[in-house]
Amino acid sequence: MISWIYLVGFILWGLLLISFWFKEYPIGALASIFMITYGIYIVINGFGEDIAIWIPNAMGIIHIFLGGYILIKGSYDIYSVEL
Amino acid sequence: MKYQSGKPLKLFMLILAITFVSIPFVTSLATTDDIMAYLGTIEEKLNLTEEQLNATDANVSLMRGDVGTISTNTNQTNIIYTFLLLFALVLFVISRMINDFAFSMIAGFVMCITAIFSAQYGFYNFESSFLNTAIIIIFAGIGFYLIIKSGLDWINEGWGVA
Repeated sequence: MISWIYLVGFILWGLLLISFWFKEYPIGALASIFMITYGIYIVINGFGEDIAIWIPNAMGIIHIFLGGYILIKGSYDIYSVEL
Repeated sequence: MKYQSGKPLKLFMLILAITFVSIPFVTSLATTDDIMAYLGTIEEKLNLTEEQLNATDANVSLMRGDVGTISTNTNQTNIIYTFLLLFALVLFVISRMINDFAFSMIAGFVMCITAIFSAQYGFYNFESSFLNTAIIIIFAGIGFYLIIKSGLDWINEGWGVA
């Protein structure tokens, strides 16, 4: 039985891949916002499994960083081109 | 002569990636079913009054007032290898799609996390320590390669944003 927290992660990465594939920044921005939320949830609650605590912490921090990075870099690229 | 990766090498890397990602996924499904069937037999033998199918401890009352504890911890950590490897693969594909070094470096970090996790728990119930060590070395090698190669490329381009 696959935990739902993994399925949410797969859906998030699929959204991210779609946004980069079709070069649609709004989808990527939405995915990155959800990714930050997902990372915070993982840091607080973990994966719901009996494993070491540093794994969900590390994955949560990476997700939070990635979400912020995509948001900032995408916005920076859009504004630096259009303005 | 500058080396350029051709079509066979890319195909080989793709097959390798699909294999690494798919094996833990399929194996985790199989072992989960086995564990659930095993738990079912324990319940039938001991005649538990409470349903304890989650990963926790179930208190079992024995004869004549004796109380013991039976551990029903299910090994659910197999799917996390799929999670980590697929995450690294997605990050690597994104880094190749938009030529951004940061995604590739983070993919390297995730591979190193997978290697350390395999060293701590074993790669999805590998009983052979030789194969387990080999997997750890391969994962750590891929991770360090991605980190160092991406970092050096980034430095050589003057720390610019790709």
